[in-house]
Amino acid sequence: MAHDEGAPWLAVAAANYCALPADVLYDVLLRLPAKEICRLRVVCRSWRSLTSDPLFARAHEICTPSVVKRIPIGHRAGEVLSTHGDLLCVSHDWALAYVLNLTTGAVVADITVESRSKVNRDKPMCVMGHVPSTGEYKLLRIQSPSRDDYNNGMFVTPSQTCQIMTLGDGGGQNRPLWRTR
Amino acid sequence: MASAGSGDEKAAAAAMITLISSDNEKFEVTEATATLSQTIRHMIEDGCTDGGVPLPNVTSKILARVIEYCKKHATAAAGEEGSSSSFSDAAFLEVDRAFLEELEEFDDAFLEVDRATLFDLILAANYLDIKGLLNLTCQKVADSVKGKTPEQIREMYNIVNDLTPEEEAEIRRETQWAFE
Repeated sequence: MAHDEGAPWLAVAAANYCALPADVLYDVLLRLPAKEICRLRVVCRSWRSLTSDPLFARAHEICTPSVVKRIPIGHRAGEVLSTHGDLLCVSHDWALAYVLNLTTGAVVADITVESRSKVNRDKPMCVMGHVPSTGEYKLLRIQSPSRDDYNNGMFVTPSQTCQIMTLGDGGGQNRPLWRTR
Repeated sequence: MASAGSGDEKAAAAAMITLISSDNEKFEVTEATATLSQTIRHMIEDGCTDGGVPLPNVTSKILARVIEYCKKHATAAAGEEGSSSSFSDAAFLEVDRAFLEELEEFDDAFLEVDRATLFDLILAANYLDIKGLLNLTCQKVADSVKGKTPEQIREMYNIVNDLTPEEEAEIRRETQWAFE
């Protein structure tokens, strides 16, 4: 077989050959504190995917329940609304919410949807759910008429609006959109 | 269940098992030593160890080290079971403490190997399902990684960074707090 140093897959294959099998690497990485694991995510692709696995996060949680981790959650004190597995949904107000990965501290989704001046809601009402069949995480937001709307006599029949958002691929690149019902 | 297990162990104390390495070297060990490996324990329980246990994934060099570990730790396990009747509590504790210290020293010395051997030991412990040895060796690798930069780890373990610079920058951004 020709040895082509330019082929990246060859280098990867060579690296994997020297490395430990995934299940053993898993065992090794479980023994490290969360902060170390986060730093090690940039070692290579396979280390990143292994440490990003929700199963890994869960196993790590069980192995080291005393780990206290510092995750910055933004400029203002948020209100924690829901958690699911290793995801945490923090909502500041109606227009601003984001989802954090508890293992990595990474912002999975930043949902600063509308400009803040347009909305006038005093309660954050964003909850997160998980769809096991598709593996997707969804956010549900229920919009109730605000007190001001009542006071101003803006409407006759009170109505609620449900909005659902599916979280993207976790890259945080594509801004997800609310689907309104 | 526990009493049945210890009964078996007593009956098996004299029984010998032959382990055959990938390069066809034969190693004769007591059943008490061999059963530190869950894989071999199951084979013994299933009665399929007559004529030796072939271990095609383990070389004679590594198998010799693994057996060395199992012998030492099997003695430790036997000592724990047997000594309570022959010593007073205080004497037993003293012997126990001394033995544990000795075992710790043995483990430390056992781990004084190069990286390739350490990895081979891990693979063997994984394949043979020897919990204590797997723990010991994995912890050694974990300790060697602690406090190191990603660059140092790649160098130590010959890992090629296959992330694109953009991906690496993104991960570093996401996990900024871990680098502080």
